[in-house]
Amino acid sequence: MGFSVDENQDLVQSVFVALMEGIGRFEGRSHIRTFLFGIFYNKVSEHLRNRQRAEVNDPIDEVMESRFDLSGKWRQPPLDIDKALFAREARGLVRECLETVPRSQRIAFYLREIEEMKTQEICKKMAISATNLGVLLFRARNRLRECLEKRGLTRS
Amino acid sequence: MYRCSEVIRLIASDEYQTAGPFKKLRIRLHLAMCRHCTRYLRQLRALAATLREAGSTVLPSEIEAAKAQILQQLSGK
Repeated sequence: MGFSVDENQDLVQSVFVALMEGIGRFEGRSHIRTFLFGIFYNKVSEHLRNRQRAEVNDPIDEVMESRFDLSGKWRQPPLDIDKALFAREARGLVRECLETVPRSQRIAFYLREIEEMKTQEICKKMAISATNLGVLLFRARNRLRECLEKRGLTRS
Repeated sequence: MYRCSEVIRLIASDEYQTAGPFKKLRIRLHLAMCRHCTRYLRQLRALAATLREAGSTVLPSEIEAAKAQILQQLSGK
């Protein structure tokens, strides 16, 4: 019939609802199957009429028209929203993931990546050895990355 | 040749930065041939960049805890 699964299910349902509602009008002069088919036929043609009407004008068509000039070139090119959306989402997730990183690791990571301090300065500030700092950074970075990977956000 | 696990450890622990030229070259050589390690490092870099944009690693829960502590001290006096 050329309908989608959703449309099929809707149709079947409305046919049976109509059957329940109209069963009182059924006089038994024909087979119940004929009656049912009559309902089905009406429902399908009603649905087709509605569908055609819906296809005539949809506001999205006007939106799309306004996006192009007469020569068919972009008047309003698409904005790069996917990048912006990704960044916003990633920020939120990174924040959540930071909760899983122990404090000392987080401080080391913060000083190194955000304050962009030199290794020696950080060691002095945190009173730890360079090897220790390396371990903290290694754990912080990997912990964060694992967390993000689990949430399926790391872009490859 | 370095193994992948060694390369990741060297870079994630910042040992790469302080490594000598020969060690650095060996690491780079591995990266040039290994797409998994390359991807891993790209993700670490992206992670840091995202946080730099976000600007802070102070957790909301820690801010709340600090607030509570200050309030407690104030009311104690």
